[in-house]
Amino acid sequence: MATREAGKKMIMLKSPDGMEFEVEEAVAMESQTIRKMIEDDCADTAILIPNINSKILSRVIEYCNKHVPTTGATGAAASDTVAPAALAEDLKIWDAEFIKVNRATRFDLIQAASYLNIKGLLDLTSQTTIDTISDNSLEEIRSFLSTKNDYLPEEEQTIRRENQWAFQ
Amino acid sequence: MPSSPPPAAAAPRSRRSKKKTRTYHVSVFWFTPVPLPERDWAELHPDLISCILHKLDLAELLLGGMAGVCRSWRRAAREEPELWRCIDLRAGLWFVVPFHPKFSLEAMVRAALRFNQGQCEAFLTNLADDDILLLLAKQAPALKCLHLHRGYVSDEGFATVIKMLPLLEELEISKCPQICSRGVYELVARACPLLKHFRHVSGKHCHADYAITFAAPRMRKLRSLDVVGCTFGREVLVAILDNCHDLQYLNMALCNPVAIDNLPEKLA
Repeated sequence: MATREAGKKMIMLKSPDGMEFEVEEAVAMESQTIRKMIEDDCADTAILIPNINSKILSRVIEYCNKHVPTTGATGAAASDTVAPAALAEDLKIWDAEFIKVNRATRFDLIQAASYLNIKGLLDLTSQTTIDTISDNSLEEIRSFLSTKNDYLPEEEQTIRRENQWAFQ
Repeated sequence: MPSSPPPAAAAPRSRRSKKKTRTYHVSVFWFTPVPLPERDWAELHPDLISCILHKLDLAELLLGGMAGVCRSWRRAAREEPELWRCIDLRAGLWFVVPFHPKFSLEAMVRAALRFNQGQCEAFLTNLADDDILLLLAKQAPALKCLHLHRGYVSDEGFATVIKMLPLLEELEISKCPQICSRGVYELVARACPLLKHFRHVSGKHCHADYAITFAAPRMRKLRSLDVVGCTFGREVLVAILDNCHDLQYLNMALCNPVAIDNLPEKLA
């Protein structure tokens, strides 16, 4: 990708496990955090992205690649001819496919989206989480979130009283 | 033939030297599965829990099990006024036990108002009545946005409440046939000097057109005016344009076409 489209500025993103990803500046700037770094000239050659391992970072870059405004790396020619509505629909289908990941990956993606400040990705991940857990019983939600009931017995009594319907 | 092995042997070495720089193309990972250990979602940052809960329908947030999952999720769902700033109950209460006092609209509004600790900014609901509205006005003095759909609010009830909401910027009254007197709409114009957006949808038995023609020109800060099923004459339009200098959007759907013949030039 580095050589294919000449004239485009490339940015190197480093994950803490030592991997480096070369991406177009426009793609990297989908992240408001990186945009800020670039605009403040804090990024000369490479940007270290702490806390996000290479597997998650590669997925995030994949997302940004797809969501960068139409001149993006993938199918620039195609997007010129397709109507915006169709393009948005296409993007939705792509998003739905993209977010079919396990819970742990989604957890990491939420954190990455938050740290890198990518609103679209944050919306997508949190909406998907809600879609999977809403309309479930408390125990199902707990098992989905792999979290334990950490209330003291008397606290649980209070909650049970306050919200009987949910505990049935 | 014997000369071919050297380049083949050289290839892996060059690949290895490339590996030293450890620069990979993104696509390397496209098809690799991501096996990761489970995460404890209770340890998610509170802001991110809030962010997820924001996507939830308010009625479900109120009555569903989400708040009972564990301490950190409960804290996010109950102790963050931010989450409750906009009380939107328009989605309906289809999953609520019918006719149970605990889950009535009033009980839910009461609870939501308690959680937002007086910071309520927006209230959108169907089927509101005088009591609910009064409850709201008492506990949400800083309300900016009020949408009433198919409500049973009376003329007098609405008049009492609107006087308590001086900061209102957005008001929608849709199919509330009992709010119809000229006095009450003029009161809106007087009591809410900051009103920027006004929408009115007339129902079947709603006769508020006449009242709105008097009130609309007095809402001087108006930026958008959207009246459905309400007919303005030419002189009313002129009055609105003369008085509401910030008006950027005017929509009159389903109105009598005779009334919008020869539009004033200023509308353009």
